[in-house]
Amino acid sequence: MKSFFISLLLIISIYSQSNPLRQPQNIKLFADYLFCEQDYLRAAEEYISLKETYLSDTIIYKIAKCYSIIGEFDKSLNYFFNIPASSVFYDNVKREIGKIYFLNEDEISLNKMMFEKENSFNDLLKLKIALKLLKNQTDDIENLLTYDDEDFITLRKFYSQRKNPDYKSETVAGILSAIIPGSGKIYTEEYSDGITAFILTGIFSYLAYDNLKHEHNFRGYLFTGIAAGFYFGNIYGSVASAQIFNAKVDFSFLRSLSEFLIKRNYFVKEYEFCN
Amino acid sequence: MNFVIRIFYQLLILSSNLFAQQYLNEQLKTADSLFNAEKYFDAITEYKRLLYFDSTKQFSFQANFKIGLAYKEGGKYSEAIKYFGLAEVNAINSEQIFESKIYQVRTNILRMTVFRADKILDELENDNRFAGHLKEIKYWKAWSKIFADEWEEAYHIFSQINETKLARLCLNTQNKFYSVDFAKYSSMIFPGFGQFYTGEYISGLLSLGWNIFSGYLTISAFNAERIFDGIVSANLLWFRFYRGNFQNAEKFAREKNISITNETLQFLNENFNGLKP
Repeated sequence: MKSFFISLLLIISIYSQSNPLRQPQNIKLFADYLFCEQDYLRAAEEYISLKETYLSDTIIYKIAKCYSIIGEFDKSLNYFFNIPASSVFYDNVKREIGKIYFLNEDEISLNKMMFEKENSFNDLLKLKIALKLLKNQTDDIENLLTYDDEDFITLRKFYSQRKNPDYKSETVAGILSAIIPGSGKIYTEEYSDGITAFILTGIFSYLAYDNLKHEHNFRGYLFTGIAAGFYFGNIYGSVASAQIFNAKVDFSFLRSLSEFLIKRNYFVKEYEFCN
Repeated sequence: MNFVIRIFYQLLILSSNLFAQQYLNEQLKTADSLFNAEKYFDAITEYKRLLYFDSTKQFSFQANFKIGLAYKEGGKYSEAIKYFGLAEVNAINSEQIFESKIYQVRTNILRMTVFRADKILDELENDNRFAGHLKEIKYWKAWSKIFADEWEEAYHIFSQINETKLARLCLNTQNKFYSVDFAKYSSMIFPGFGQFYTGEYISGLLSLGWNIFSGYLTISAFNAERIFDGIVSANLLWFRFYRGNFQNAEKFAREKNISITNETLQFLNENFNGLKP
């Protein structure tokens, strides 16, 4: 009889309980599933729908991580800042925040969160150097490159590339093309353009001279105009070519720096939440 | 007494299964109501929740199919195709397979991956299970041809299945097109003609003028026995203008055809009430 009443109570309790799919432990399971499926926005929203008592450091970290991955940096920072210094995630949280400040190019905030005694200091310093390289602020980088691990060695190489870039002078390119048409282009490593400009300017100049000499004035003036067009166009083109060359140097530098940072995951440690 | 308790426990287990079933049905209703209210983001979340907790996979087809539809409505075509594919895998009869495959076709058409749509349609056409759906298969094949810019082919297929309105529209569009080859070759014969043909009169006049001028320079140089002048003028002036002239005519014809296509597609989008991809 006792068992009967216990069973009856059980049935009533099953009847009366809320939808099991909405129970916190199931919401968490579902959110974990979404997180591992890389459906980050939904995962974050599911975690947030948990009551505050269920929001452990791990869950807050995951919410912040979700928002960081989808580029909602403000929301991500809000959650990262909620993780206390006592948490096991704290050091990595600082790296994650550093990464967001780096991506936002916010040097002031990055500086404010760097404390030499903390474990994350070294990695934040690397981000700070990378940010200065990104912004081309090379003046005080040398003083920051104080460590000798592999990343600092690579950053030192980037620093020397940034400090002494392989630029071409726009003035030199212009002057060279003014003296010998096409030579400015050759200086900026546009060899085929340089040779073509030289030949075309030469041919039209010769034709202009020869036609004027033989009093074929109309053709003479026409070829003079074309030759002048090629000549001045080539000077302008050489200056532009030097600018393009320099832009390519900058672009290539920034791409290499970005590839390095992505490869090193912005010095952030990744946890294996999905194994 | 033991017997009564045993029966009672069995009833308990049975009832807990029934409750689970009830909750899953409720979950499906919730997801469907969000879907019907066009709240696609939330609907996808709820269908995914249903899929996650549906251990017997009884809702796999419906949920995956609806997720596919929701992604399609949201313009996330690659995601939609993925879920229509999952719906196909979880289909329990040939009708469900057909439905999920047709939606893969429709989404592929919208994604402009018409080669993939054609491949699926060919598979459906050659599958005896779907012999009763031949008209529908051809209908989507014609739509695929429209998006592949093969209007004449689309016209023929629509005509075969008596879709006269669409067939006429395809034929009209086809007839409006400029011949790219005619524009190009007529400009080769008479500089500027291709531009006139495509309605670009100023460009045609300019093209004609430049060709006359550079041609005159070249010929007059040869007449004056200044051979080098003539060769340079021909190569660096006349031939450049001549080549630019027919390339320009070809480009105009292509651009005009693109705008004709876009006009028809816009018309279909805004005014056609039948089934669209």
